[in-house]
Amino acid sequence: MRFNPVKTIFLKEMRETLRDKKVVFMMILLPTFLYPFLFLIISQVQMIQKAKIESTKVEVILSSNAYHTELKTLLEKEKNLSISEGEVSSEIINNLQNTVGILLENNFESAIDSNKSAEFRLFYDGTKEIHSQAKTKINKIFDSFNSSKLNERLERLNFDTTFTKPIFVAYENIASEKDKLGDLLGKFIPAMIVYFLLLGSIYPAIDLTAGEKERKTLQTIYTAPVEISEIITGKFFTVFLISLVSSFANLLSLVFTLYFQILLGAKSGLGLDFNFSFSIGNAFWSVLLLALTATLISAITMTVTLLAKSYKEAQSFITPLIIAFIIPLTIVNLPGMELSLTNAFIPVLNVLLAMVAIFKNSYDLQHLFFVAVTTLGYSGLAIFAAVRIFSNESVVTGEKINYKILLKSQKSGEKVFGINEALLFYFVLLLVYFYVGSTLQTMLDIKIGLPLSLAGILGGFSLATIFVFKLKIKETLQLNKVRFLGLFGTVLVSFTAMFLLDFLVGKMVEFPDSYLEKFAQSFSAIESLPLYLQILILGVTPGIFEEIAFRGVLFKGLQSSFGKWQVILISAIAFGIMHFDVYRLIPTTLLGILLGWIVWETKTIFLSILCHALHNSLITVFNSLNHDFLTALDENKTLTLVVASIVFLVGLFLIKISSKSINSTT
Amino acid sequence: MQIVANELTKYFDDFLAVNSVSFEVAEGEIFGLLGPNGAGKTTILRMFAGILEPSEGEVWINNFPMKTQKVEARKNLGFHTGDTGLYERLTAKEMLEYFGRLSQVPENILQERVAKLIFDFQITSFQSKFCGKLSTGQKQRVAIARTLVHDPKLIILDEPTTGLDIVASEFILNFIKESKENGKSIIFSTHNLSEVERLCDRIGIIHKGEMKIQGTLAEILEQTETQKLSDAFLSLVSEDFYAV
Repeated sequence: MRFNPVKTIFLKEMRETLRDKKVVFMMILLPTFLYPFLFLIISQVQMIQKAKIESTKVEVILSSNAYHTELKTLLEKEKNLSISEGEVSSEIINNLQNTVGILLENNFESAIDSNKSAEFRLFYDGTKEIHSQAKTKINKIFDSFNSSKLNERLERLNFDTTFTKPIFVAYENIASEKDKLGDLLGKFIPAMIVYFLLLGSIYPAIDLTAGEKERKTLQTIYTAPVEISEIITGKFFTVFLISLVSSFANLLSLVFTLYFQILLGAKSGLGLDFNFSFSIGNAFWSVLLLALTATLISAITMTVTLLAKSYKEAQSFITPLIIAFIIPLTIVNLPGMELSLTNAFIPVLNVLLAMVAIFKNSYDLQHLFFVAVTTLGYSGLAIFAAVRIFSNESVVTGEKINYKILLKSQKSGEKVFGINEALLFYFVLLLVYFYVGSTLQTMLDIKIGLPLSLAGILGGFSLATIFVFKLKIKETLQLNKVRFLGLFGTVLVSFTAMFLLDFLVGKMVEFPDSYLEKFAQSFSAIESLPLYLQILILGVTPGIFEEIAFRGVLFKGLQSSFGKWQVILISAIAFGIMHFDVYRLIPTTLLGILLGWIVWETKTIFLSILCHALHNSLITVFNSLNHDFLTALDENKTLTLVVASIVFLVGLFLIKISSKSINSTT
Repeated sequence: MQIVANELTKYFDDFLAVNSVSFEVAEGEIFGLLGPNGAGKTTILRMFAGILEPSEGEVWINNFPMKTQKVEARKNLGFHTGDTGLYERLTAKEMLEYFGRLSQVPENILQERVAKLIFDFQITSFQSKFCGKLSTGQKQRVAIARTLVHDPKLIILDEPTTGLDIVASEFILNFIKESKENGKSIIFSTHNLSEVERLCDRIGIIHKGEMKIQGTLAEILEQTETQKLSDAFLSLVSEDFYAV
């Protein structure tokens, strides 16, 4: 994929979209002014209504059959209640405006005096706001009348007022105002952002896909010298940016409006403390997760709208999508919902739960990492689907999409393993490896589960891909001859890489004790095995199967579109992510760069397998070594590092020389 | 050869739309593709541009195979679709610049070329107007100028004069003639037989997805033993007309 055409397409799409007055109005202006305007109107109407109700006098007819002076006095003290005496029945009250009635029992006074319960009936119309207000006021008066009478009775019997309360509960909410606000905002703000992202992406997605089909402009760009992936990427960035801007415009407007509402409320003593701070780490994760969600949402809306052949059809396709999004938005508010390893893989819901955890400042870094990786994976799959649909010729001709062709390769039965297929391979592998792999490791114990998942999933999946796409196994996996210089250089590099990586990582990552404990615990089952078996499980098996998947199949797909360092870096990051461990992301990625470089230079996967296996085995051996040796190494750290660096560089140099001789032979 | 089509066949599900069509167009040659509605002309032209993938057969544009080197092949091709396919919210000038940039034309050359096309196609007066607001004739001029902005060797025009008045049609036909003089190869499809007679070096008549005949006007008249192209055309497609 080339950068320039993508940029050209993106700029053109942005220009055209922003020239559409509907977009500017619907996506930016409306949300910016709608909320303040709505809130202003609603609060004004509310205030007027409230004042009106409060200033309206309510007539209260007190039944004359059982007149009670004390009660009457209490009622008369209440503002806006006008007390009169008369006959009370439901018919009478029903025929009068703004009037409620109180019917006292005939023996009301004597029942109270003789320590019994006296009954009164309040006649009111529950559908009228003014009646409900009067009911509340009257209830308050009766409550206070009730407690004063109760106290009199207790006094007469010489009982303390605590007599009626054998237990007294005092509630202490230990959550700080910040926690409470975090919980509230964590559920509210991300849900709103996700919802706004979806709404913001719909219009540009339809316009750029089904809209173009309808206007018959797709064919024009299809005849230009650009790749389909470049067209999709340019369009995708447009949808992404517009939905992001629209979402933030919506959110800012909403938050500012709420803020002023709260501020106004605070003046009247009803406000919430808006003092909410966010650490840099929290901000980083929030932005990352929401950006990834925006990627996912834009990719999904584009994929769905691409299936439609007209604007109208696209709108009908979007409706089920909106409903589907409402499900996670509802689930996140269910009681007891928290981010866990199981739900960290459910799209959208995982981000919402992660955001609640971030806002509450109580999250597990590993969980956030899983959420980020899976969201990225799902976005990748959605973009892949979009490219696939876009490659379907019925899209260009504006006909109904042939779903049968969609599932097959677009090139008349010819299987192509390019960048899209490679990314699909990776994202599916990632999900299968996590779910099936972790299940295997839990069910079968790590010492059997780990090699089985490496061989079965990474190895099996890679071979299946080679078979499905009819790739040449020797060429794909670079099963080429090993040259002596390359071999020697690789051995030197393998033995020293561990020291350098350990030093670099020690400078960059701080491992929490809880993590180290957990890590040691998960591998304790393997440590009890004889050393040769440990080497086999932790060194040789990953060496072979991870290399086949990452430096073999993935490498091959990436090579179709990218140059040397892009291939090495992307495959290394993919390799790092596959370890599902945020703390080991950097060391595994660095190792991935080294392994990728070795394969690229030596043109044989055997050497990257050797390097990977040796590197892992060396760590295993060191872990099983006695304490004294490690302490001795640690004391001579500088010397160890200097020697390791020199040997490492010599190793790289030898590999490079070997590479030159390979190139010249070719 | 600017274009070589070798036994192009296209199926839509089970329907055979184009059946084993082969032909070549040399540099500076105008090739006219004739055929009744639904004959398969647009399908053939779309396969030339790589919009549709042939079920069988191959296309080479300036020696680049469309199947495997699509980007390179398209750099040598200017394709004008039946629908003008202009972006409604881009101005005429922006439309030309956009396609020039997509073809990676260096910016200084692009600006010169766009200015020349605007002048040659008499777009100056409406160059800053949105394409959505142009008249049919103006749109057609912009659409054809768009196909030339990357200076392709081969120009394919799918029914370029359909729906245009005489003045606008004349303008397009003159452009085709001038392009030939500038060494471009042109393939154009049309229903208008007089346009073909006037301009084309060679003619192909398509019917029911098959190339019934191809050659110069004289060759076609000789082979069909007719005096006029319209008679030749009818003799080749007549069986169905009578059947109807």
